[in-house]
Amino acid sequence: MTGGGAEPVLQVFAGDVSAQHDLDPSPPPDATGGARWRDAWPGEGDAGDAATLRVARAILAHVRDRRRRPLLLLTGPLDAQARFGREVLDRRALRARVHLALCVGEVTHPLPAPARDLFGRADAVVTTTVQARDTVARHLADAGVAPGPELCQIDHGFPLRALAGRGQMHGHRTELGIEAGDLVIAAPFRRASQWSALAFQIFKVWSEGLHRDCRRCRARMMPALRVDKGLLEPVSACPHCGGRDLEPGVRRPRAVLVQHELCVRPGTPDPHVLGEWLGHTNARVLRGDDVPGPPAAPAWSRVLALADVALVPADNAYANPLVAASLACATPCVTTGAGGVGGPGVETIRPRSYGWDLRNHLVAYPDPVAATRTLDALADDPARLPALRAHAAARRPELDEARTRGGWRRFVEAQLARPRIVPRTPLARPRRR
Amino acid sequence: MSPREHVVVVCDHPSLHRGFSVVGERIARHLHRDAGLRVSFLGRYEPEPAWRSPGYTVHDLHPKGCYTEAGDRDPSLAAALREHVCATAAGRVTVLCIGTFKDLLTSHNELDASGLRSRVRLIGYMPVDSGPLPVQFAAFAQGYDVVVPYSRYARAVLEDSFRRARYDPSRLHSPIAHGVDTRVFAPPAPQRRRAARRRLFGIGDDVLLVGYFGRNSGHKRPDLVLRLFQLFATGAYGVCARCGATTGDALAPDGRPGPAAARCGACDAPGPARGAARDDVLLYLHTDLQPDEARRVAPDARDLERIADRLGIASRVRFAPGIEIGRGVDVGELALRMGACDVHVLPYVCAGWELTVLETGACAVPNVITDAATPPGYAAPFSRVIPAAMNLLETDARALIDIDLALRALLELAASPAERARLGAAGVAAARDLDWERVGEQWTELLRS
Repeated sequence: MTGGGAEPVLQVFAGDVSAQHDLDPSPPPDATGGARWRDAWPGEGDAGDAATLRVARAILAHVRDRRRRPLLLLTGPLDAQARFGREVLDRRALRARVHLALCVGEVTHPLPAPARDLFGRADAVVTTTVQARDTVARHLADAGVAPGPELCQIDHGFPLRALAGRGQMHGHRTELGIEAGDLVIAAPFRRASQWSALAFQIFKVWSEGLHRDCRRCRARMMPALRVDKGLLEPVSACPHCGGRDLEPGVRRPRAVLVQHELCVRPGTPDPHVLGEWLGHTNARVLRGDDVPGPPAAPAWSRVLALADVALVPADNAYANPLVAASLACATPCVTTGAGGVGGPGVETIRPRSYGWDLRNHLVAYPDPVAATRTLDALADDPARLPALRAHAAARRPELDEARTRGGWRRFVEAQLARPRIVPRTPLARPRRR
Repeated sequence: MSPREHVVVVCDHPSLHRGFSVVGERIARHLHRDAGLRVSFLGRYEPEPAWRSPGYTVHDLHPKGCYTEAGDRDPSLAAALREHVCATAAGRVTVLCIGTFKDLLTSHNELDASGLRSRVRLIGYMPVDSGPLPVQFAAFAQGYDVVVPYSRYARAVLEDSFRRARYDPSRLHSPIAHGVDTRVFAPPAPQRRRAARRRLFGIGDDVLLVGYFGRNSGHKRPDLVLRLFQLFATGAYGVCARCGATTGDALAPDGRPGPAAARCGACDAPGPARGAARDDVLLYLHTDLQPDEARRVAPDARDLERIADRLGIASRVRFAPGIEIGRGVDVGELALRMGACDVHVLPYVCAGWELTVLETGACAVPNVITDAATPPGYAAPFSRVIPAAMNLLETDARALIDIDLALRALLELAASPAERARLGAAGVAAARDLDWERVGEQWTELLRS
């Protein structure tokens, strides 16, 4: 929270600081050059009021003259950024006094109207993936925003040395009761969603062998979720050939699912409730502090480094930052192969279904059957996982923050070079009598 | 309850083309006409001006119902309840609430706040689209004297909610189904059907007409009907030589047709044979179109024309531009349009009852529906019930239909007029069992108990 220097660059994290995540794109500390002022805006309660006042004062303090607006880099979850836009920038009439750059990771379906509104009024939007950038562009085009903000894509970078390493975490597996030879799967979602719940379902079905393979036609069937009974019921006949000679799935008692505790908001599934409702399985939900490992390393990296493989069954708009995070921890990833996600170290599964969200954007739903087949292959072929892990480790340097620092520096320099003139409020000339 | 005792029905306005309106109107009509009870109907939303009550009293509530700034309160309902409950000089009045959870919550709140709760027997006809229900729901349902589920499925979900909240489930009544007016919803005579197909869609007997009847809503999912029809009509699928499964081709990120399926989605065998495009099929979407997002009445509606355009099937789809939520075509015309179809597809992700499934069944139209929630309980005899490909869990479970299996069912129905006829006959029989006349008797029995 200090500043000083020639060019004012302000950086505000909007949202619950305890949920602040290294997967939120933000420039590395030394990437922006010149002056920096950083703060967090929790948005709620007394702390939110105090932060609003603090941020507003800081912005005003950095408006040195009418010709130079400070560059405000807004980071954090999109909904919190939208709230910040409404409650700080709009309510305090500060929007026109800053050059606003939004840094967004996941671009959600559907895009909430306040977020769309904020996109339309930003000067620049930074995303970490091409897919997210294209999604923002589509959202803006659909909303008829023209000219829109400048869209920039800067690859996600992680401070690799600060992340937990696989070697460091190996010893901690025993603290969690994980034995040698267990297959640890991480569902690295940071917020509860239909995708995190889908990962839980896939793991439960696969690890408990609730799926069925038809011995006649070899088709695989997932169990039916009986909402009225609160259970996953294996099918009794093959819907393809009608055969009743079904082979139960292999039970995998040595498979463990680990989830970093998710941020649960109204309307999202609580993993604890889900576990209770569907029946407890070999899944562990770990609080940030309960994840063993180097204390300085972010909890999400400890979860990922603890795991043998990450499972991210999600539409690509959600999956991208999580795939990057997995690879940064040298952990291979199983994810939906839609929208160009993939490459060495990543096992892709085909989309099974498509639907349209409220903004008429396509949502690709991953195929749970394909996910169980991929997990089968990883569990049954002793050579496959080490090979995949080697590929993931080889991609790790691509995600080094040092490589993205140049991108951020160029972005900040370019933004500071833009005309940032504060529009003058027209003054009424007093009439002469 | 003596014959002239008073029943106050709180529901969407009986003049409207809404599911709850139809249900409330039919129950009120039966109680008034056949059971001889005194019925007052408190109707939400803007009424249809030309509509006339068949004899019971109708009181118009606030046009927006309980969806106002007042939260879970509705002052217009409070005043109406006071007027109609206090008008009964002696004895208890029965208040029958029909609607969404929020509607039922509001009705309970208003009775409670106005001090009338102890004077009435409160019955809730409880909608259950999916589960699990939050335990808070059970606490709210406890405020009702009798909770009537629509189906055995709904009762099981309610029981589960009560059990988790440690409440006594004894106030759960046995299910009372929705019904259908089989005098209106019946198979049209062949000549009339042929004429309707020619007049409405410009097609003869040689074209397979796939229909969708329902709101453009987030749970009925007409967008999935468009995707299914795209695979079906354009042959954008593979057929596995080993297991016979169909696998739909991918879509590009912008929603246009994408690469062909390289492997079977069911058994993973490579190289499925290509499907065949068909010129002899047409899709009719009898739903509200809300292309303008800013003016959208239902926030969960999709821009169906745009999706159809992206999928490359716009010329093969007929829309019904005049339809709005609550404002549809005359019920006789609706039945004729239903009867003109060869197959009805409703790939809901969750469902309370889905009247149009029963109504199309009554018109001898086979259905393709999702194996989830209540409808399979009554519609299985006249439907292809398709398992979910996956369940999307948010606050409750949403079953996303297995589009590949739905495609296979549609292909089989298209190829077999005999199977369509068999299912159609089963639909007519199922509808006969669920005629409003029969269903109404169960309400009379409950109200007189």
